[in-house]
Amino acid sequence: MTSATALRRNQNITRNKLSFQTGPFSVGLLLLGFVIVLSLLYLNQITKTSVFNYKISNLQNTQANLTTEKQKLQIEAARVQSLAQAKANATSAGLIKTDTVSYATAH
Amino acid sequence: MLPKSRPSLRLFGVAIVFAILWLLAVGKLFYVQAIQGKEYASKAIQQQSRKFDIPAQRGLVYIKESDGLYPIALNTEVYNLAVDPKFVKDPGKTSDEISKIINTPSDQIIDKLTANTRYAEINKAVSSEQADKLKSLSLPGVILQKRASRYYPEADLFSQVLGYVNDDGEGQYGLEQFANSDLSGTTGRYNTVTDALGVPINSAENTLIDPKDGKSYVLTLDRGLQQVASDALKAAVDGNKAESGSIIIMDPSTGAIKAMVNYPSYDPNNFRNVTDYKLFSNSSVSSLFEPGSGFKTITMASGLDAGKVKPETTYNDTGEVVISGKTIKNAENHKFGIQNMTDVIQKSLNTGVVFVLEQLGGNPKEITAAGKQLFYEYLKKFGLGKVTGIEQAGEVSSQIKPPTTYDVDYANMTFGQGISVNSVQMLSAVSAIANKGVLVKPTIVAGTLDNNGDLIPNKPEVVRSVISSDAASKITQMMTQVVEHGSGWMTRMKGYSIAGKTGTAQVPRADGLGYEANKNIGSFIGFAPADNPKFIMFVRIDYPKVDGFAEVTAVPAFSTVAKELFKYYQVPPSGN
Repeated sequence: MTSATALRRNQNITRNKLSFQTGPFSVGLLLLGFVIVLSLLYLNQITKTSVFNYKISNLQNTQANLTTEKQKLQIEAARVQSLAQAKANATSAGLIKTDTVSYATAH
Repeated sequence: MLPKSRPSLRLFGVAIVFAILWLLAVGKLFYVQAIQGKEYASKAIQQQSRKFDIPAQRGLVYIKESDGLYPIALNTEVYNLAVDPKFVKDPGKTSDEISKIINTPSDQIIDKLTANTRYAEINKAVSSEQADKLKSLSLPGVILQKRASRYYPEADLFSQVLGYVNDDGEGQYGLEQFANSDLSGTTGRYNTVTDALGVPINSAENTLIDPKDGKSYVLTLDRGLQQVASDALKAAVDGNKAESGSIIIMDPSTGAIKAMVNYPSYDPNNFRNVTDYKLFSNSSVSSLFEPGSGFKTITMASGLDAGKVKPETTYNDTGEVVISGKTIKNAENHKFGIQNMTDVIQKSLNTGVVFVLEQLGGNPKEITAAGKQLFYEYLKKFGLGKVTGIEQAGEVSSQIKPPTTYDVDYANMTFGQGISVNSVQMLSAVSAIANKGVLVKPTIVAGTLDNNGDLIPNKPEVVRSVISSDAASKITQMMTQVVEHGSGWMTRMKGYSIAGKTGTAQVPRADGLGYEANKNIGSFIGFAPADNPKFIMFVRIDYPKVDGFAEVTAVPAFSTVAKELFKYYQVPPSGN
């Protein structure tokens, strides 16, 4: 008997079909897992949103502070350029007012 | 067959009861959701959402300088300082601490700290530095509320032109009130869903309407000229022991106001300390007065334009003229005999301008209805009888009597009595003469800034041609004689041709019965160089307590400022 014949003789002629059965417990477990995954995703998004909100809030505060700072600087700049300040500076620098102006004549 | 068991019946009964309960529940749900749904939804929205106003930034006000723009009205933040006396633990110590920081006597504060109220305001404008110091002390019961405010770096220099912004953010007087809607912009709004504590939460239902900041204005005023005019005016008012005064300088070809000052004035940064509310008004536009002899220029210009008189036209000045039984005399009872029209302006003869009115009617012996009508039409053409439209709150219209009124009233109007104008109207009317007969609308706004900060300029607004260029030239020549040989001599300057006219006006009594005995308003209106004017200026001194006419009270101030204006415009003296 050849080896090929022997193989044929030992060959299964029936095949058992693989079956995957889910009972109530496993379905419940799967659903629970699914809910947990979704919850984690949701929490992740909420956390991200909160972080972004916090960043936006911080940026808005920074913007407001900068606006206030800019206003203060504008005021200070205007104050030091005011005529009253200029007069005081001119006096302290010993500057005097010109009374006469001479005009160059074009030829 | 087995009989029905009792458990089945009970089960059936329970099912029926549950069914009824279910139906009731469904019915209630339907009632709540379908019928009362809208009402509950709106209540839910009210509970779960809040609206936040987002204030717009008020526009700034600038003036042009050689190196860019200089702000004369800026935004800042101040704090309302208040207390809730219920929470104040040690009023004595608290008032001392506050007193040191805000420089207010402690005894003025302690009353607020012990008041029987839940909210007592101490100061409406605490600076952010002072607020920081107060915050650092953590005083119980002390309340600090931040709000927007204005800062005016030039203090009183532009006060009455600008006005101020009150504690409610509303512009008051001047440009701040006139352009309040433009300057204040549009408030934004944030509608947001909130949590149980009212804190906004991120939601797709949130809506945001961005605020629209106010427009920023650029004025035609010049800071240096404003200061020069202010100093000269203060000296004139104080020197003449006068009550008040005004100086306005304008470019006659564009109508751009270069300076507009009144004295006394106030500091708009401290408007709360002002007790005399008259100081808030810009009297250059809000105060009417009888212009007096300065108005003769208008009468003469009308006669020249109508072709009824010429500079060399003569009449016999007997020192008085009788109109409808009432005698009108020259000032100080002067009489000069045969005089021409240039003499009328140079010597400021009341009888001479009455003569012009008679000529306007075509009858050299009396005032006619036609003459009054024509004169009235000229006054209207000069822009009198209505506001000029300058960008200032509270401009008061001049008053002109209609031609149907008495002849003597019109005779008086020819030399500026019985007619009232404000200073800008007077300046504007005479500027038509300086501008070769063309009336231009006076303005203090050079333009507004766009989003990039670039100037969108306003164009000069030509109102109308009032008189011919020839008539304007003739009256200008007459006005130069006032400076060369008449009452304007104190502003005579070598090498400069100045056209002008003085006016010393009586002040009507409040009861309408004649004029005040010892009150007058001295004024001088002039422009230079006369043949090609760079500026026109009006000086007004109210109720001086020194002897003399406008040549003493108003002309020196004009002269002082005119000297600076020639330097400013770099006008060299001519060789003549």
